[in-house]
Amino acid sequence: MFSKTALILLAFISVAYSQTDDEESFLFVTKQTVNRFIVQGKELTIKYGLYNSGPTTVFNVNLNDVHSYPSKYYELLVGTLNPKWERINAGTNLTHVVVLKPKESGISNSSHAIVTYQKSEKNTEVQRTYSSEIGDVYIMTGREYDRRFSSHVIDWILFTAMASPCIVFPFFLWFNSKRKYELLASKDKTTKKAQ
Amino acid sequence: MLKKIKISHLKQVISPSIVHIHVDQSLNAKLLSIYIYTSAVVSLIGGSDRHLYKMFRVVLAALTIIALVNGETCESPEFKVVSHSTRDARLTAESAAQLEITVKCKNGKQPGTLYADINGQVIPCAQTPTAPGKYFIGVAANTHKELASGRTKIKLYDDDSYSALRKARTEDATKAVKPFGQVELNHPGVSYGPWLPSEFFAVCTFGLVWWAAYRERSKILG
Repeated sequence: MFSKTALILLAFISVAYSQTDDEESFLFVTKQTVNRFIVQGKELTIKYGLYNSGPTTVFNVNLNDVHSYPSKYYELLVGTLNPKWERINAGTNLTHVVVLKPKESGISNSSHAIVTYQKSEKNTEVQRTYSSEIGDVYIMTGREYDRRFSSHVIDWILFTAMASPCIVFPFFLWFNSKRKYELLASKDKTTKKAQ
Repeated sequence: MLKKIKISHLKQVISPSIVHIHVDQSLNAKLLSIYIYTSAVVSLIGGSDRHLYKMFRVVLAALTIIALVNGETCESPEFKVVSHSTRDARLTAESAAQLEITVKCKNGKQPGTLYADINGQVIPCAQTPTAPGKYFIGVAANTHKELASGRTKIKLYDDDSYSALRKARTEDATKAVKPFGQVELNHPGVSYGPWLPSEFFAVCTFGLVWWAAYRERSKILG
């Protein structure tokens, strides 16, 4: 029932849309954490991966994630939350690493990072894209983490100190009586020999 | 007649200056202002006076040469590197490292963009608007073993050497390109925790104590 012109029109439209996808580049940004656990007072490493799909270079790339990690709750140790790259070539896979230290425990939400870039050097029209987000994370306290993973040496030393009276006191009693008995026995032997 | 000559002179003067502006991108504003001024002067004065026009062209050529010579190339750069990598294998599932490079040039200029050669892939370094002169390189690995422990050499390229690198087609040509500098990533390796847990030592100690007591007891009873 479709007329020929309608079919031809559909074909043109689909070809036109597919062609525009080929010519433009799109920047994919992922945001992940490499930590298994997020612990208060321990390092939290975040990895931003930028991938330029498409055949052209993108210019003036600016990643802004300062709003996700306010300095009141997170301390920035390594890297910057606001990096910029002047150009990212086609097909490049970049990584940017940021190390933070959470100051407080509890549930925390980290949202998307905002990335702006220009598709061409001359066209100053800025394209905005958002990274993936990590979502709600539970920051455990230092004590919880230590309970599972620290080396517990101090705990064992304390345990030994507390358990030692139970062991040392009877041992001391036994040792004293043993010494007395052995002295008596040796005295008896010497007196018997003398006799 | 006079108006036509002015426009043609303007074109002849401005076209070489445009070529030079592309080469020296960061002195753009200064050069552009100089050229616009001189070309305006030429168009006003040198419309009919050929000698004066020739002199101004020589002056412009001299200006471009001076600009190119005092250009943006950073000579004998000094690198200060702060490298950080994931050390605890129980806290992190994957390894990641980050290098923070501070570049100091003798002539006080910054190299612009730097590119780093990591494991064969040349990627641009990140900069931050709050701290110019600092360049960041991030390296991520899927497993802890993929990030080589010890010192890894990373070659740095600036704009000129990077364009030379891209033009090189053969492997020899890519090796012959002189890098801007070289830095090292120091990864001390990841630790999975102590080799022998403290419980082992506790068990050994208390086992010894028990064994000594059992020996004495069997002597008394036996």
